[in-house]
Amino acid sequence: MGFIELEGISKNFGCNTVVNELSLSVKKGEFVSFLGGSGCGKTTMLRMIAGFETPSKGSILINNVNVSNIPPARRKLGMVFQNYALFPNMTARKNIGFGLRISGIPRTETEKRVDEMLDLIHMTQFGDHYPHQLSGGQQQRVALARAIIVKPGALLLDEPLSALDAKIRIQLRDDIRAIQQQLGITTIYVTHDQEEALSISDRVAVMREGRIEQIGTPLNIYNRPATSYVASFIGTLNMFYGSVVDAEKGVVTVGESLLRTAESISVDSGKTVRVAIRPEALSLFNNETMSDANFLPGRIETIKFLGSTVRFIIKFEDKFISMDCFNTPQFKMPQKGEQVSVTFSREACQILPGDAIPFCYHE
Amino acid sequence: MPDISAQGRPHTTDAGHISFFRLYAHRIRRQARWLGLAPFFIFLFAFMIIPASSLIVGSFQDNTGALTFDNFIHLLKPNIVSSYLITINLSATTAVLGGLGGLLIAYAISLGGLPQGIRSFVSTFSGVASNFAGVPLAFAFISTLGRAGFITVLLRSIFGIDLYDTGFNLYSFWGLSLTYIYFQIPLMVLIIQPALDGMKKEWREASENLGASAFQYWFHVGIPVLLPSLSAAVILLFGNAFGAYATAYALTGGLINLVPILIGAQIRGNVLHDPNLGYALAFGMIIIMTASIIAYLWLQRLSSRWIK
Ligand SMILES: Nc1ncnc2c1ncn2[C@@H]1O[C@H](COP(=O)(O)OP(=O)(O)OP(=O)(O)O)[C@@H](O)[C@H]1O
Ligand SMILES: [Mg+2]
Repeated sequence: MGFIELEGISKNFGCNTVVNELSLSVKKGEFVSFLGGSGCGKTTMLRMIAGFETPSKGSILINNVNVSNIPPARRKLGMVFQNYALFPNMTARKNIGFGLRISGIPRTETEKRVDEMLDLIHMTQFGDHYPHQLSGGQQQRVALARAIIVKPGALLLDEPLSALDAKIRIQLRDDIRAIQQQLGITTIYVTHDQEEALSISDRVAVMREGRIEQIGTPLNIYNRPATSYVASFIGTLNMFYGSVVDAEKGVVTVGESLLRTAESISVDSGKTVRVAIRPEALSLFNNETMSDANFLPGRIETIKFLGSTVRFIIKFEDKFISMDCFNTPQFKMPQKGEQVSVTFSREACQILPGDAIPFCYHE
Repeated sequence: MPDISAQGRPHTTDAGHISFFRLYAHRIRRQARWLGLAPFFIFLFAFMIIPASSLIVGSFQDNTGALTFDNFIHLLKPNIVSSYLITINLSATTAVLGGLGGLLIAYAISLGGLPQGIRSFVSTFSGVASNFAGVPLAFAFISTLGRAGFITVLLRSIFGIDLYDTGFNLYSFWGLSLTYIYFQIPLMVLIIQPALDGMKKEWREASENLGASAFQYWFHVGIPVLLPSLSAAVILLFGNAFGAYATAYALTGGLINLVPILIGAQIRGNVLHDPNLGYALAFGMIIIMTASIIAYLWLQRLSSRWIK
């Protein structure tokens, strides 16, 4: 039994179903992210857990207690909002101490714990600043401290970093993870940023239209996307339509080329499937290429130098392929317009159902 | 002769000439911006600075033009003191009551979750009603709540209640207050609405999430955050009532001894004609108004820091 159990939760606004029969079990101390595009119901789900919205159907159990009839004030969950939501009339200290103050904890104890919190979020010298005197990142640190000082059963964060700029976002997300690990606090994190979700979570739940499309470890989600939606949502991906030649042996044709997969295909021969290949799984043909690898002939269209990696856009028949190569000293940079042979292993070849929207590659 | 170009004068190269003109074009443009405000400054000067100065000068003169402090000593006469007190009382009463009424309405339409249609209707109505003052307003009240007013008659003929027997009198302090409140409430709605809109719903949720009751939220967050805006708004209502002249004059015909009416009587009246005393009275009023405006601005600044 998980610490937080969502059992068949649905939420309708009028006739608009925003969360649809969603179930999830979060273990104690686990860090789970809800990842999904705008409007897929992430915030709504989080607000139902916090108690600000009531599910239309299903039940939420926290620590084996059905919280349906427990108001937000008594659920003992810490919430961090996208726009910080600090009380503007209170200093950072007062904001952090609010939860303790209102529950009648003695002043000296409150002050002591506020000091510990300020230390934890590296803001000791900012205790007497008002929110409007703090930067966005600092405000969000204070908001985090305000939520965890009361030792909540779980921490709920709704896109806490989306209003911050890139550098602070990365730093703060690492801090959030570190604090979460240090306190061992069960955490549900909402984001639409796949890199964020993959980098800090124990498990990622990819949401789509109010349902969980796939849930798994970041590695699992990235390497073994279960559906084309997940595949296209996470990272850059090459996707081609192909047709199954031999399901048993795992052979498909894409255009004029035959490709082999590592496993047999669960779709009948002759059917259309989609073949997904990560750009970093591709390389140029060289003398280290395995003899049983797949090949695709093509011409280099664009070269994008990205620092540690180089991204090539290669034209293959009427399709484009993205290929990422490490910019190592021994890497022989091909020229634009050059004819090349792109190779990849059988394992790199992911077969997904052939339905859904046509799609080539995205950046 | 020193090298003048080194002192920031333009160089004589072609490029220098261009930047020279650019520089001036820029300056002229910058000055032109101020030019646009000229009508405002002329207006301010002609209808505020000049009258106010002549009023202040006049308040230190007797009717021959000689310097005197008599006018201010006369301000201490009981009827003048009482007129200030009544005016302050009327202004404060209607500011507080109107403020309270306006706050409740504004709260209902901004945080109470009423449909958008009602909200825009109330806003438009408030815009109109807050400007509905003076003779038309007095007339409207006389024709509804006067001795022969519509509602007075209706109550008497249908319910047998005689409003005026219950102690109500439109031409009294409370009658006048009621009339003032008619424009104070919508004015309050207009001023306090932005402040209420600035109250983030997340503050409420964050405090609830931390275990606070509704009372604790309002006590620790809601009221402290709103207080500067609230007091500023009430002060503005106070000033609004303090300066109202036409409504009071049209309704009570000078029966209630308000400062603006007294000033009117002194300056252009026939019986009480003493313009210099009128100026001193007005000077006192300017002081009260200025103090209100300063307090208002200060409180506004305080609250705008919080509510963005
Ligand atoms: N109170 C509400 N009344 C009506 N519809 C709502 C309400 N709250 C949310 N919705 C709708 O529910 C859908 C999901 O909203 P939600 O805020 O949960 O999305 P989200 O996944 O958090 O998106 P985002 O990434 O943009 O924050 C949206 O289409 C939204 O318009
Ligand atoms: Mg959201």
